[in-house]
Amino acid sequence: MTSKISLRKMIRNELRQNAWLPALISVAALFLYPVCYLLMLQSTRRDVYNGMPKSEMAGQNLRAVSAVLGNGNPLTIAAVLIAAVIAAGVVFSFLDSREKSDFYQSLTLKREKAFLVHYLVGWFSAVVPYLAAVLISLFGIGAVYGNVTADAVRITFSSIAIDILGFSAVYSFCVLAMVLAGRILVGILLMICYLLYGPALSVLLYGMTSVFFPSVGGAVTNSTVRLSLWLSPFTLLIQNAGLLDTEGAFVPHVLSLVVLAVYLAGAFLAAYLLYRRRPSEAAGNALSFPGMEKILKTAVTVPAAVGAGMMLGVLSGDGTGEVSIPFVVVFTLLLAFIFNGILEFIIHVDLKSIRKHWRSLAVTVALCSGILVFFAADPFRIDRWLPAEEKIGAMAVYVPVSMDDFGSSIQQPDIYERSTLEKSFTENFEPVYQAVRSYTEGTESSGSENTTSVQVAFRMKSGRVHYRYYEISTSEVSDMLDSLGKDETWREGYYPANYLDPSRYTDVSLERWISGDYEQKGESLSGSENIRMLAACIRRDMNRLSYQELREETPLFLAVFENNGKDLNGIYVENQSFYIYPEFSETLQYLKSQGVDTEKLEKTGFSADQVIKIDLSTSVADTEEESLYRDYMLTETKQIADLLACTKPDKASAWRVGTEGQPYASVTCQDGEYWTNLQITDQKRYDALLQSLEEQEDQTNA
Amino acid sequence: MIEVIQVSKAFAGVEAVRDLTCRIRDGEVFGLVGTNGAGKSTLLRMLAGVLRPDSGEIRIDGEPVWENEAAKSRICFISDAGYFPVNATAESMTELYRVVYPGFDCERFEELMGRFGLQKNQKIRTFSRGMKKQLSVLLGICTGTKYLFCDETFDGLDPVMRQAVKSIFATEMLDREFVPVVASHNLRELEDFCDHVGLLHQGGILFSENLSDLKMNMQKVQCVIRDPEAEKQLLADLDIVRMDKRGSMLTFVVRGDRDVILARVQSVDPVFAEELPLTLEEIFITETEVAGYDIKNIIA
Repeated sequence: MTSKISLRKMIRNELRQNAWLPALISVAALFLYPVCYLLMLQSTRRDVYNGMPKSEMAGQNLRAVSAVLGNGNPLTIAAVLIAAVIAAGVVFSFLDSREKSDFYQSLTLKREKAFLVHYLVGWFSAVVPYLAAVLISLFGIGAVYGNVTADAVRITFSSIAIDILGFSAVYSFCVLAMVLAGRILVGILLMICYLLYGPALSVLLYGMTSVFFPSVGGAVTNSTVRLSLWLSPFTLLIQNAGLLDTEGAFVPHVLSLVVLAVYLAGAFLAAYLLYRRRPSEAAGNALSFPGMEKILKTAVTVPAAVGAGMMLGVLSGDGTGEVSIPFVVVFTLLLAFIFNGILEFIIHVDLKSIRKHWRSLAVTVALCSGILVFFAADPFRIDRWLPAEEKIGAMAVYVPVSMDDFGSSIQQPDIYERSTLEKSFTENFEPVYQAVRSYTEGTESSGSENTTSVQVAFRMKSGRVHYRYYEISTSEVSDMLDSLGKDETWREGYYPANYLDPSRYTDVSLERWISGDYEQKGESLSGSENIRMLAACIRRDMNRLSYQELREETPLFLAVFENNGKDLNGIYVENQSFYIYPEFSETLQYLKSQGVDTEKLEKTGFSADQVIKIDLSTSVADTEEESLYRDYMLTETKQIADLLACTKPDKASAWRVGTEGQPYASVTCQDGEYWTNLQITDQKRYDALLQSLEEQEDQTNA
Repeated sequence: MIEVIQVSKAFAGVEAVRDLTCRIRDGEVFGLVGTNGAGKSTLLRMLAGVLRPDSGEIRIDGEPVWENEAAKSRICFISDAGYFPVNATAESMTELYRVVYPGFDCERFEELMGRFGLQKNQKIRTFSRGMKKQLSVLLGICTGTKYLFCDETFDGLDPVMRQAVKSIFATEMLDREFVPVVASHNLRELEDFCDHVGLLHQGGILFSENLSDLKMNMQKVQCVIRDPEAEKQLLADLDIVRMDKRGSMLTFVVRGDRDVILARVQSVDPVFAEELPLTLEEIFITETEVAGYDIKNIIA
């Protein structure tokens, strides 16, 4: 005699018993899809009524499909997570109760069939309401608003496929957690653990390398973030969200979908096989398989303690991001005890078990200590790594602050750093290698005010490329750039004008480079051809000058490339400002040919007879501990002339002298007020001037 | 027939059932008695295929029960607390049982519900504990399975209901193949309707006997005998398993045929002699003491 239980009837019966679950999900889906879709389409209709051209309506409607029904809807990802957790928690909650567990396990159902019944009940409870809501939106509401187009159907159905795949994978992870737990609370904690463990571990690795191996830390940012996205079905789903082309169509990240499918298969298979072996007496226990306890405790406590220890170490620092290693060690070991105690309590509901399981606590503490010792001691010289010179084919360097020599506040996205490095490899890398050696041999201390952050790429003869971050002596960095900057090929790879895309900008504003509230307005240039031509002139002029020439020269004015509302499919474009130097002959000639009066923009300094007053702020004590500033007001013509004779206006940031020690002046002229950093050209005269100002102030006070 | 062969089961290192061997024959009501923690529920859960024995084997009609749909289709297991979904009514439970027990007899269930005065549309969570137990038993009986395992199910029933259930069990046993296995910590509750009783203690079975055989072979006699020599001779001749003398009143439990024993007592010309009723509890105490266990404090 074999089982006569019909799986179909069993699923139907279970669905009836848990009818509130699909009902709840249906209500949420109703608001998430039909209601939102209706509101968006109605809003488009209102825009047309208010004057939007009808020709734009189709595009707007398609955007509504992408935003609500397509995979660009971030709420869907949140809904997938919540629905998966609730469905798995509810449907497999019987494993928590001995009575329910006894009932189901005594039925004439093999365990694998029982598992399938419950798995499918949870799956249908979430997927059917979701599908119904999306299809009602697409074909019901869409039909009313005349928006059932081929594109809308394509976008919606590709999103349905991804959402269901993503839900199934996340749900399978949650089911696996429930199968491995004997209590619902522990099951939910395990779900969180499974979904976040991989990404959290990856972030921890990044944090630790950043703190202990600063030369590696910055370089691994991108790879760590990319890796973290692959380590959980939920993050893979996020990775696929919003991957839309400019037309609003979905561009799937195929590999991530394949990995998502692998996660789904793996989690389902693991849950299925473990359910078959799961002892029924586990109901009410924290964990289904007692053997998991030690592994779980160690796997959770060690990274949690180290991660939280690091975080507390950062918080207890001086706010600069510097971490006190002894603090990290103390916090980590303390947190290892605390987290171990919390887990013991969750698993055994008895704190006495901490003493009973002292060995696992000892292992946890030993592992935490071992990890910290490994990172602090750096036995493999990961932070101080420097390949043999003969193995290196080429090197590239990027110094973010050096961009200040090319323009005022040049804003570059992170990707620019990487492309600069990739395009400015040089085989004459001796200056870079020597600068890096000063770091790896420990002659520079990280965080010192006399150092500058530098990103370096090593292209080995084998073809591999290694990226590293260093803090190197500012003078060495300056010399290194001067040396590299003699090579025109290197300049074409490094100078930012070579990365300027004129098509992104609508106008070029020509302004004085010394900031101020002066009345006189600048000049401007518009038209795509003009912008393209100007960009080409600047590029050629800039590439002609060595780096040393550029940094030593005082600019005439600024050319600011602006994007005034040009739609680049939602991509925000920063303004780009370039100094125009006297040697930029081609640029100046072109501007003149366009009728721009460049002379009125030129401002290289101040004439004492035009200055009414100078408010000077200068450092009087500059130590590692403190930097004290004193303010002076110069109103006498002689004092003003003295100051202007021993200083000159400096560019946006004088990174070589360090911003801490640089004087700052607010200069009130007849045509307005200017603000600028000052570069001291005659230190003796400057000191003498300050002394006379001090004495004058003392006499006034007396 | 159910065969339990050298079965052991431990939870977190604590042995709940230890090397247990017994048989439950067809056509009998099997009572499983023992104190709390004796291993009754564990044994029943293993018989129902819920728990997997650590060692040993359990066979239902010759087939192993673990993950065997054919064997499990002959079983209905009613746990001590029973399982009813949150908003279930007797009627919705009928629906559930019809799905999970294809042989469920709805008409019989309706009839029994009426006889026990239970409302089929009333929420089960509003039932008293006894009513829930009644409903569990009725559902179990109507599944039509050959074996019905009841874990402490009778402990909450009043004597009238227990009698009614007993009567239903008897009817079912007459009408079809039906073997109820009833676990209880209270020996007195099982005495009046079990045919065979097994006593569990600390995971092992102390005793498994047919009740009528036990009662037929053991007598309790109270008498006063004038002649001490005759009394001494009488006690020497009989297979005494337990004896108590207060003044001249002699009370003893003796193994053997009732008529033969009474005739032997009458042969010593007693002043007074009579046969006293022997409870199941006394038989168990006596037998287990003979087996070397101090059981007085164990059974209720």
